[in-house]
Amino acid sequence: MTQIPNPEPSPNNFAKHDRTQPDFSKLTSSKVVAYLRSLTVGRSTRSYIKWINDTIGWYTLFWVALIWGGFLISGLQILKPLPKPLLLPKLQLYLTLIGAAFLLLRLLTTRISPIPLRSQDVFRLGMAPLAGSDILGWPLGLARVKAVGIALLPAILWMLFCYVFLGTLPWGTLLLAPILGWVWLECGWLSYASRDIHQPKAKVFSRALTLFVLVFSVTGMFSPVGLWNVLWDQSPLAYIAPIALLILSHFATRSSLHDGLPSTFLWQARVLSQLQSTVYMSAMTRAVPNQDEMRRLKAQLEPDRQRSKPTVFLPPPPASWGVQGALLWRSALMFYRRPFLEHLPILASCLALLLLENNPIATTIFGISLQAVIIGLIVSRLVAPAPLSPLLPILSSELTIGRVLPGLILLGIFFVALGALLTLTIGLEPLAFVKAALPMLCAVVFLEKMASWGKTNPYAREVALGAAVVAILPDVIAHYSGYGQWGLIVEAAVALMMFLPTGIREP
Amino acid sequence: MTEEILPLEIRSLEVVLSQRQILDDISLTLKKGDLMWLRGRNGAGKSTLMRALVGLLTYRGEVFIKGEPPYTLKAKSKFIYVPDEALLYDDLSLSEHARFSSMSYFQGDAEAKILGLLEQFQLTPYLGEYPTAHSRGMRQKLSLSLALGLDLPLYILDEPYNALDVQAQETLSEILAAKIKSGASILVTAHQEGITRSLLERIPHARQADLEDGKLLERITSKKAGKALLDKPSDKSPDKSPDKSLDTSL
Repeated sequence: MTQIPNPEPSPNNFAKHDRTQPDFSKLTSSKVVAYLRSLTVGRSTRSYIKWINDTIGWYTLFWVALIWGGFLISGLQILKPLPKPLLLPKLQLYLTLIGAAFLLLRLLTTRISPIPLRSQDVFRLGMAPLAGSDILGWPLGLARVKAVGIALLPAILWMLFCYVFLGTLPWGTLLLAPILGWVWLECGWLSYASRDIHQPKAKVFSRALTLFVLVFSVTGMFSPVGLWNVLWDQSPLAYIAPIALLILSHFATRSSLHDGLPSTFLWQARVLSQLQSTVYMSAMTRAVPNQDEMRRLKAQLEPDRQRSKPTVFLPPPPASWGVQGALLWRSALMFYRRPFLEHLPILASCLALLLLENNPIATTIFGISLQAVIIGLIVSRLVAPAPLSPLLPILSSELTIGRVLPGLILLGIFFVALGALLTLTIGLEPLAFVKAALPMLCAVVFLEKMASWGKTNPYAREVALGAAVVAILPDVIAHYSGYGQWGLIVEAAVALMMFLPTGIREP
Repeated sequence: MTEEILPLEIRSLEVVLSQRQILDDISLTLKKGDLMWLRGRNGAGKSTLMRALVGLLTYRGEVFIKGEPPYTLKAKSKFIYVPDEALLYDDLSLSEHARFSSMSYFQGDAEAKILGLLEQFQLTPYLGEYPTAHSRGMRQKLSLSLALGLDLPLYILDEPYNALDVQAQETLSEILAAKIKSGASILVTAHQEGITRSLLERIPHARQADLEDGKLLERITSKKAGKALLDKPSDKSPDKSPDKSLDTSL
């Protein structure tokens, strides 16, 4: 593995530093932070440039970009709009409700600072007598860039969906998405800061933004001036509300930062930086992050959630059950102790999968992709952690059973309960129930196998999505080869194979 | 006559972490020129108390640094906290750390003082280097120099003697004694009895307190310190026994 080199001290920088003594009579907080960032950010950037130059090479990057670009363009070229666009009569209402809920939840529920700070910055900047706006200037800028970049991805997907299925191309989405990404971050900050009694402006602005989102979500339903109208309306008036929201949230954040940092910010930033470094270190060593350590740190952020002191118990199995029994007990205890709210996403996913399978869209490439995404988002929650000691004398199949069986039982309960409910209410077909449950089961088992055999982190999003794609693959291949009826059988066979006793696991 | 604003004043401080009471009803004051040595077994809550004081943990109760809550800019300009782990920028050299530290507290003469302390700790040959390649002890020396080179009313030092060699420990005791002489106040934790004895010899009026079961108990362990403590009349508490809860102004 290539190591990123430490930046070498530059004699030029050192000499320059010694010559230019700062004028302390004119020194301001922003100049102090600028001095620090000019050295640290500048050197890190130069160090990364040197690292790319020495290890990967710029030509490699250029060719990768070219290949990806070509791949993307050819992918776009094969997209063709449906001859008969789908009619979604309540689309505007749904988009408005989703958008409004998205921002209102953020404004009303964020309790933890959405802006991270490095541990060095916590102690050396955060505890020094410097203005909050200067301390947070750089990390806030980075967080904005990240939020805007992330927001662009679903925007592009939405445009492609509109082009193929609705026969429209809402270019306004490309403007709305970055605005929303930016506003999403600032709404989170204002919601967090408004909980501090020393941040009166944040409280006022948070309420003003809530009112703004509510009012302009409603006005959009019967006038061109609305927050979400750019998703379906090309009129220039549709841009007024999103731009106004951006200006308001930006002004509100600036104003809140002038009041200083919230009193809980530094300790939250310290814990968040420790969490970040735990994840970072595990990524560097390609290990699974220490879940116990992460739980301990999270307990500091959310002390009310009884994360570190158990209140419910399951009796341990008799010793004669051996390691297998101990593993099953540990996994079952984890699910049993998990707060019910954390089970809700699993329940919601089961419902979504059942509804999807009951819809003709399920057999299209869009439906299959959606199924994979839903499974990928949730599957990690159904796999229990591995035993701490990798040296346990246990069969691979026993390890799989120990880690996944309690989760699969929970999944079974949810599917059966929801399936019965939907059968009675909307006449769900029994086959739809099997089609929804089987890929999820496959994904859970496959994820555990990837984790225990390949030493990958089953809680990493990309690994979970990979497992979901693999789980639906037999069905996709069978479907597009003209043997659709064999898809489920192949999936069931693959799932069963995972439980075969394949020998002692190698540490 | 105007009343002196205390460098540190804690009233009924409580810290609860994960539904466990770590600190319970801690009251404490540090006057100008006071040094308090805080002791306690591992997990007793020494670092927790310090973190709560400087705003790195939430707490119930009241904390004032020079009359201001610790998270305000006014309070931040009056104290510095040195954690038990030296947190330094990997891409700033030692001399740049000194420059940045003096700038961040707006003290023009602090850079020279920090460089002077680095010289006392024999780090001058390494001024142009990054601390990444340095040992834990060298990083600790830098961290302490960056704090003690500043001219502030209150220093809060968590295990400052850890990882220091014998000579550096003596140097640190001398620096702390000089700080106390100049009127600064210091709250310090340390496990090493020998080191702290040498510190108490240099600072006869130093105070000691033990954290036990979340409570703070002040003890008198050195003859000189004991005499100094007992010679001072207590205004608030009629109880003059050596072991008592620290809600008294000694």
